[in-house]
Amino acid sequence: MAIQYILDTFTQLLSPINLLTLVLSVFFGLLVGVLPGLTSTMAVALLTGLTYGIAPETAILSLIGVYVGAISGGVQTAILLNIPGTPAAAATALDGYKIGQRGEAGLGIFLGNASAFLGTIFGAIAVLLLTPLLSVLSLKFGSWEFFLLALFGVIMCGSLASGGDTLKGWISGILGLFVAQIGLDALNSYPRFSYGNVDLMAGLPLIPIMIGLFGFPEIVNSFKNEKVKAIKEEMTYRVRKGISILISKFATVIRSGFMGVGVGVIPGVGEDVAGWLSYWAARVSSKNKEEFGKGAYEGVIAAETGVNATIGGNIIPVLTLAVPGSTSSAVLLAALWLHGYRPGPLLMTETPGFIYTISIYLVVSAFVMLILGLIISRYTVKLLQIDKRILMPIIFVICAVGSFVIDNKFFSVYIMFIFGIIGLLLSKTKFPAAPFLLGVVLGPMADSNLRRSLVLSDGSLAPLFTRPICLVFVIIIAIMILAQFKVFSKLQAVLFKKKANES
Amino acid sequence: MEKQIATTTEDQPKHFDFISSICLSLIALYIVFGSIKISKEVGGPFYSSPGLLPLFLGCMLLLCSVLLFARSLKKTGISGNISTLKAWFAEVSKSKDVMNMLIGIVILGIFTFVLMPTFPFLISSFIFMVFLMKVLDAGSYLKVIIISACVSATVYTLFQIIFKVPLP
Repeated sequence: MAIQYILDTFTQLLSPINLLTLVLSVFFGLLVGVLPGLTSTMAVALLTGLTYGIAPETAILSLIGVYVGAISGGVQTAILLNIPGTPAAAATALDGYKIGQRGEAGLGIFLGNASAFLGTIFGAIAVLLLTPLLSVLSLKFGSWEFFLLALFGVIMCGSLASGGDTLKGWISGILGLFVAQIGLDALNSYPRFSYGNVDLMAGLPLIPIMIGLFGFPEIVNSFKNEKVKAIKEEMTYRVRKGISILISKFATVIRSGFMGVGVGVIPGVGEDVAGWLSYWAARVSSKNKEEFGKGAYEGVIAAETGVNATIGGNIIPVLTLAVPGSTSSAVLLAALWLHGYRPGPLLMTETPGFIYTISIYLVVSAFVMLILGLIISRYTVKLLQIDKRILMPIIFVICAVGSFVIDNKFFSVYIMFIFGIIGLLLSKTKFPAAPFLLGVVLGPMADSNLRRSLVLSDGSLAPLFTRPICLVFVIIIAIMILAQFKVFSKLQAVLFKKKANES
Repeated sequence: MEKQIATTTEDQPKHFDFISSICLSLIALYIVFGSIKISKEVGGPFYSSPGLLPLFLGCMLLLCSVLLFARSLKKTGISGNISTLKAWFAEVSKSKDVMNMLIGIVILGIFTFVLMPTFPFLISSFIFMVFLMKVLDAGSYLKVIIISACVSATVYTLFQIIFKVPLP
């Protein structure tokens, strides 16, 4: 029966209109991903309106295509300009930009695209095989677990993005978490640190903050009078070298794929968390930890595989529970409803072949994304050869537009500028910007879940130690903090000294 | 000279840690007092107050800032840090790079806070790019005008006409 469903899907795919739709929608997605400020959510939402009235299978194919394209497109600007096209590409920029600066942007983009391709394939397989199992696990996540997940994310990111100065990474993360507290709170609707300003009460928009933190310092640094040595860019992708790197790091691909799917299944946790988590795991398990942050290929591979594996992971709860894993998949869920599908427990009985259809759509979208991504990057890679005095004013205009289009408010452009200044100060004083951004992303989740949990437990902290998943998080967080104070190495030294004295 | 300043600022982040830890401590204190004020205003049990997480974050920030401050004093002490800061400031105030960056920031600010809200996007972006490119000495007037006009038109076409996204 499964083979029949697969054959039916391929027959649908081979029609010229569907093939054309697939190519155009992936291209549109890549374009959205490349432009800072335009997100995958926006791309899927924009296309949903346009698909109204066309055949459901063509509509779903185009939505999956644009979703895959938009998530993957962010890698290009992350590597070339250190401006992540999407928040999910922020972890990629950490090493990707350094690879680009080394004159290997072509190789970096190939690795990013190929990892994104593998991650998407991994997600598609997960949709097919792991749907029931992972859905059960995600249902065990309560408020306490979500709070600890947010805390863990910021601590982890602070440790790994700080370039050896963890204290500064944590400070940056705490500042980000605080920025996310500005505005009406989720439980009491109390305006925190808003000073009666209506725009502040709505909370600070994420995308302008991201653009400011990462884009602005690059732009301002280019105003220096010094003659910057032109970066000699290799226009060849060095596919053989890329493939051999990917083969040698295949364990990273598999691990990041699992992490991406796992994070994707958990509702409300977006692709960016998966990127950081995969990056952290790659760094922790790498033999060359010191290379991370300085242009490690493994960093790009881990982040991109993890981010793209979340696409499949996000779709799993959409299909089985009608609960979206991220904002993009929430729009996808609405689109499925619009086209007459009924995601949820009845989907498997009403339309049993749908799960195969979605998986195959993901796989073919990944193939098209890989090819188109490499074609597009032939042109985007030339950005590095443009005189920065011409390029940077243009980039700033795009940053301003990207901030404005989020909600059609000048307030968002002002926020981009203000956080740009903050980003500049952070970079000059050697504070990493990435934990700050992750703090802003996870801040609302941490706040609402912490207080909801405390209300449910009457202010008791006991569930932190009685719930198994919580306990695992608490232990990991404690180890991460204690490791920074060199408690373990001191303990080891004391133990070894004792043993030596005894012998 | 320029290179020397760059090296000085890159290699000696201790005095930056010193000054940033003081600023961060002040921010942390502001967050702590602000959070306590929020909790008092809202009332009810403290564990469900909107000031709970900001208070926790303020305390954590204060702790980290104190650690950073202590670390910055390890080798040089307070007077050493202050004299390094003074020397750094004296050098930086003469630096051409810093002046260029400040002028650039002012131009970016004018575009963000004045030109964009006042003029339609096509005009504001064109004026901004021509002006900034000329200040940065990016090429002749003709070159700069052609590039700026092409970019403004392309961004407008892409967002406003193709994606139907409204621009200012």
